[in-house]
Amino acid sequence: MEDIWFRLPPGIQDGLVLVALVLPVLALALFLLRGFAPGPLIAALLRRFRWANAVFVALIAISVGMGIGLIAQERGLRVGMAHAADKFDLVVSAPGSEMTMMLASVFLQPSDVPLLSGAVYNEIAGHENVEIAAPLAFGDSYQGASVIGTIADFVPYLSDGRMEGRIWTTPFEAIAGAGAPVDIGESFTPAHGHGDGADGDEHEGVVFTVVGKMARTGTPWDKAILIPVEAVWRVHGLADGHRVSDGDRLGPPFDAALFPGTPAIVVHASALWANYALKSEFSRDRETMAFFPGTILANLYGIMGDLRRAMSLMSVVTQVLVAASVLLGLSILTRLVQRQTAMLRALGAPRRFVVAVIWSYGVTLLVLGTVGGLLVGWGAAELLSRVVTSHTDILVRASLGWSEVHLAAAFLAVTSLLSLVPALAIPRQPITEGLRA
Amino acid sequence: MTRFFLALGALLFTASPLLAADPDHGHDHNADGEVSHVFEQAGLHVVHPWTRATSGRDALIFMDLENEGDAPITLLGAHAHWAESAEIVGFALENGEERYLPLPSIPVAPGHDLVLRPKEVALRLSGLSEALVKGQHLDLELQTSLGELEIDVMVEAADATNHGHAGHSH
Repeated sequence: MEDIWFRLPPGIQDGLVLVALVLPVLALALFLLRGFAPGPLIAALLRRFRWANAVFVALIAISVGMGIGLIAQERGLRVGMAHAADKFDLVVSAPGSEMTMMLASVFLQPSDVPLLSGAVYNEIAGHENVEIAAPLAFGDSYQGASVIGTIADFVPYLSDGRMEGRIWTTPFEAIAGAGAPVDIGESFTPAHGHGDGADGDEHEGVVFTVVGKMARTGTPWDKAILIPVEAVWRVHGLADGHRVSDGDRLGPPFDAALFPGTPAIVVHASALWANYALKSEFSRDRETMAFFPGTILANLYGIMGDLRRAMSLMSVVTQVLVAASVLLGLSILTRLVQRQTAMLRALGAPRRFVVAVIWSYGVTLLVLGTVGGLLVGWGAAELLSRVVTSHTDILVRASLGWSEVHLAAAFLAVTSLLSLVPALAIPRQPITEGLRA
Repeated sequence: MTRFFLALGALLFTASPLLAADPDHGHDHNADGEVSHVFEQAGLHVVHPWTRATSGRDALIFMDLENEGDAPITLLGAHAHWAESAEIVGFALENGEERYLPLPSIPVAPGHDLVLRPKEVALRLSGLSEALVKGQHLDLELQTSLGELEIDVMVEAADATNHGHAGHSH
């Protein structure tokens, strides 16, 4: 049985879980409503107490929506972060903290780190299984945007070839990310450093002209400005990786003796398997550290997973409290309709019919609240996504997945079954007392 | 009732050798009588093979492969009598979800290590014939360009992140 389950496609598994959650409610509905048509009576109750009903539905929608929004947002952030690392199959740096280097290379949060030599760069770039070996040179910024030195091949790789304008041909030309504060044709002088401590006068007289603009990638690199790595070295008074006789030559091969160093090299291998062989070759004690940003992120998710479990637990506890409130609310609502139900019983309506009317009325409110909760959850996640995207440049997309649908269905199933309790209590109350209510 | 206790006593007596049997039975032991954690073949050192306890269909096997020889050694795959199939897999994040994708062979350059570890690269054994229990030792036939090498895989806890002896020098 377990074998059959695991062989099913994930979509079918999720669909079956949903059916399993909803099935008890459908079975109960079939049992209670068999042979009855309480629709008009329920519609009348909904109209008669529309404000109380609306408040009840809104409370359910908000409480369910908060739980759903939280889960959807967490997943959106996880997917967005993973997407940001898509182009960073393998990163080679000097030995140190993988997390620090992942934050620097993928999320553009640079730190002071040791540099890799030209010999190491040439060895990586010349490896038979390496398609792109892009050095990254951090340190400068312009109006809050990181200015990063690299090689021309990295630009079409990063943007999947989607860009306006052209690639640089001289050292002082630049290519802007989609969200960078400069456009094609504009010029800028980078500041030395980042943030409040950036020195705007350090590179006085150095002017870069933007000749290309990459399409939006949904990563922090959208806000970056890319320039030839040779220009970064030159403006810092260093050799530019080439002999003087090479003139304004840009890009590899570099002369190892004239290569000032790079904190990180982004490596794109010719095949997935080659990444592991390359990692094996470039993980060297006291010389180089090769790591997969995807693995670092996954390990981070592992830590976040505990947080996610805590959030899920909080969400479940909240839903339990909401379910208890719903039970209380339904009891109050049944008091509201006490007179109507007493009249039905006085007219000789069967006990099951009265229970069916009250239960269906409660479940209708629960269904409306739960569907509203899905909408509120989606809206809350969408709003949070925009806030997170604008603050981090990581494209976070809110979407409702099976987890949210399962949470909503479980809530609906539990509360629907619980709402049988106040419905069953109605026929036990004296008819005369109900008629006087 | 007396006969019942006599029968129970006899059963326990006859079963005692089975109950006392070492779970490491049938595995290589070093000079100190401990189960080996290192396996060698013509310059290839396989260190700390391990997996996680599971009752599922698949198990990921991890280990360090050290090429101490002068020529490249290629990891080709594995075979185990307790699983239907085995393949090399590489970790990938697809839309934030963790996946292990099948890989062809992986070469290990001379003087370098290939570390099979969680969320990087592993051997995936599918169709397990039995649940894997913590403390158990499993036979595995590692297939490389050097030929086949019998190794012993230690079953660690279901949530383990490395071999129990990780960090020890062997």
